[in-house]
Amino acid sequence: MKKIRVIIALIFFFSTVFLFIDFRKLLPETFYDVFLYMQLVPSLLKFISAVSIVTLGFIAVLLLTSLFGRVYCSAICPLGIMQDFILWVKKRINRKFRYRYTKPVNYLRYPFLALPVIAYLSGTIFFVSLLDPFSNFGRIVSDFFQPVYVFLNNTGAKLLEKANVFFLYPEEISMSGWVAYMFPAFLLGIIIWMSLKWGRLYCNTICPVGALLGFLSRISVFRIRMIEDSCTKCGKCSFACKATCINIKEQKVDFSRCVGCFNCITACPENAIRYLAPVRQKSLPKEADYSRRKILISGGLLVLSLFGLKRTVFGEGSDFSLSHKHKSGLPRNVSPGISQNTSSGHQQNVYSRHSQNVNSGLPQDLNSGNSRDPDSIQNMEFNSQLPQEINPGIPKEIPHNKVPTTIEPEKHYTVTPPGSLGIKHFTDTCTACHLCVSACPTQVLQPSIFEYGIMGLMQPYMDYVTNYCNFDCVICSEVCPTGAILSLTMEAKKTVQIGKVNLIIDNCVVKTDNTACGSCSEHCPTQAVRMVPYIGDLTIPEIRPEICVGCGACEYACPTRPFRAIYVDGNFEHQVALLPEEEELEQEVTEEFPF
Amino acid sequence: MKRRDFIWKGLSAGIITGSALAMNPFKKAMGAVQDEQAWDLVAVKGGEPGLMFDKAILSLGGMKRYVKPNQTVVVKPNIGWDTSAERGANTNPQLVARIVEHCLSAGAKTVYLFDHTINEWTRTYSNSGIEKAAKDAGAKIASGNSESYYQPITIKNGRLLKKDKVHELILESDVFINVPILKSHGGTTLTISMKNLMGVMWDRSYWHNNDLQQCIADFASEIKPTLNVVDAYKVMKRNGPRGVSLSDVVEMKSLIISEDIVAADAAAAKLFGKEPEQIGHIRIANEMGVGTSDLTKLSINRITV
Repeated sequence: MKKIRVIIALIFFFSTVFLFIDFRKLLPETFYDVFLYMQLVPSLLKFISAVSIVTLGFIAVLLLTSLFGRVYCSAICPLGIMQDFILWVKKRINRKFRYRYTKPVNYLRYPFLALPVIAYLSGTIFFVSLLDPFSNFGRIVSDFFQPVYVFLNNTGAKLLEKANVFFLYPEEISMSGWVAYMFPAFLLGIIIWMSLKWGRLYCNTICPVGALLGFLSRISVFRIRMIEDSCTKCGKCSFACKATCINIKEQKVDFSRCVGCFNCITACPENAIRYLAPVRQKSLPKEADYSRRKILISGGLLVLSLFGLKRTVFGEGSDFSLSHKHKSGLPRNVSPGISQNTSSGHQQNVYSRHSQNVNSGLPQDLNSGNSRDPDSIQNMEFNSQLPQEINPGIPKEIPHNKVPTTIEPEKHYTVTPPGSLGIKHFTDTCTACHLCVSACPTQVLQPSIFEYGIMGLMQPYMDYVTNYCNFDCVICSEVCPTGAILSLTMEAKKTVQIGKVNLIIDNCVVKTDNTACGSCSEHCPTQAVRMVPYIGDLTIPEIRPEICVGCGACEYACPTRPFRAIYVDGNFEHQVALLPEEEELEQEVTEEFPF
Repeated sequence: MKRRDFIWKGLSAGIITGSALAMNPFKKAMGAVQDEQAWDLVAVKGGEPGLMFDKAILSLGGMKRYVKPNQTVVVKPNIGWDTSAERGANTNPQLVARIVEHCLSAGAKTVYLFDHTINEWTRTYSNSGIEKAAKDAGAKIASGNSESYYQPITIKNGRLLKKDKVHELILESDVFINVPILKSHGGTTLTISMKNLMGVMWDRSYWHNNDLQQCIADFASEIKPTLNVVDAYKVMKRNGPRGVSLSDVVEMKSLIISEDIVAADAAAAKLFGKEPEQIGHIRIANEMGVGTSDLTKLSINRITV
């Protein structure tokens, strides 16, 4: 039993780790589907958000649990398997180490389950993100292990290149602010500490999935049972129990806390602890009598309420502007009465209001928490300061146009990745597992700090200071396990408008320095910014926002500092960009050389 | 041997061989493999990219004139964009492959190939078709998108650009073959050989910030390719340098090859339908003496296939 569990766990663990560190995207898409299918929280969210029956992985997990107990926790959950790793290492070092039975910490365990569920039902996914084991694992791997992997790759590449072998290539990692990495670091610390001290206590006290499955495992068919007649109370099973759920004195197993590692079975010399179906059991543990009906009802209620939620969000959808306003720290003066499902006309209305009233909604932390380039658009309250005061923050190497630009871009909405439909859908569905962050080939997706407000902490956003979105790429929409970024075809993606281009011509180097540039237009895949004749031979940018897809290439490429001359302002709801017109060119074929 | 030394020695060797040939009574017999006249520039029209290159390089005396046995060669095409080959945003893969083959059959030890791309490089390398074509031809593909490869240089004759960081393969290889594609460009009107050198240096935004046209000319005064091969097979006439769709591209089926980077660009500009003086960096580079844009002063071999 234990061997099977270990093998399955290793397969799941390493596959999941590799998914999160695979910056070259060596793995095919099917690989993602297979290994993410059984992740409970992402699968559940995708089911709710994508309104799709192909994402029934969570039902499989629930069925599995009701049949076999929490095998998910030891064989599928990457965070659980990671703890097993830590414990395995500890056991190697200290062979005499023994676990001791502890009482369940139910006063923490169930609140930690209730908190994300209630918060989610009332409209914020924040606590789900914070507590979901898959997302936590994803953040840990993507934020810490991937850089290590890239570093190893780069070192390997350097060494191989010395030997004139060009098999590996170095990769540059770009990370925006370190603040977003604080939480995963903190959590990794907590997990290491808790597991070293108390085994799988995290899974039985803090993890809401553990609590939920624990709840369900009270009714599971196969379970760990002690055969009282053969048991000599030697305690070996209890010493081997990572979940510390075997009470040897009373010969009871708290199966709600059992993570299904089967170490106890291997440990028992008398074969007195077994994994049995009820038919063969000789003595039934008392807690099995625990009012099953009640649990079934509450489980059913939970599923029903989730369906109900799905309906409120997708069926009616009228109240979300209001709830969103509360949720996010972004300035959003959306009047509650007006439905957000309207066209750009309403958007315009929102925009114009913001331009007058933009600072009011911004939390103060936004400025202090932003450790990136001072040219970052979020520092709206710096308006009054002179650029010179901001300059010391810029590293010396960054080139300056002769005249520092003075006009600050005015962004109203953070840009969300294509396929995410808009800020509302994205921030409601993303658990910040950072799979897209590690899969994105350009690294334009970066963990947010306060870009979506405090409740959107760590949810990825399109960071056009770091890079831009590749026009011919839909990788993030393919990998997203929760449905926050819905799958897009390549053709559809090319017309999804995630934001619109804005030009501050007075910042443009062509105008300030009277020299040629064209960097924005050069990068633009649709020519939503094109170069038109200016003075003499010079050309100057001109924008056509209606064909802009909002990829941010122009903003990334614009060389002026501290403020860029061109930038993308996010669309609260993604729109459809018009296709660039195509005129036929004359095929001029001359026989003569023009020289 | 440093590349610069090589060029110098190669040139002197060339002069000696040339003069020896001039006095050789068996000149006619040698002429079978080598054209009698040393052309400054060769323009070819009407063939497939590989074939046009065969004709052009033969007319210049074969690749052996540039690549000596056991030397290292770096080929620098334009692989800037994540678009397919027919879009004309990246250099033609067949042309690149044929150049690699010529270098290897001339005895090159290794032929490296890279570009500091604009879109994500692994995608541009593969989607342009260049990675596969070049690998099949025997080139070693290197990355140009990691700053660690770039070494500082000083630009002695630069008017504005005094120093920069250049890819080590450019600095270390014996022979540097620049293979741009002729395209329209929103900022610099055209992008040809000199503009293609923006893919061997690191910090492009500095140039964009500080008089782009002057920087292009300054850089070309320091980093001189052994040979410039301008791909004008499919030419992007508008919306360059990335292009929006296939409708931006016309088939010109032409190729220009020259040791003089300014001459190559001037001829390509004319092919495109522009006067060399209209293009800022060509005009400046001509003034600075990087090369000559006056095509009437050059001996040009015009070949129609």
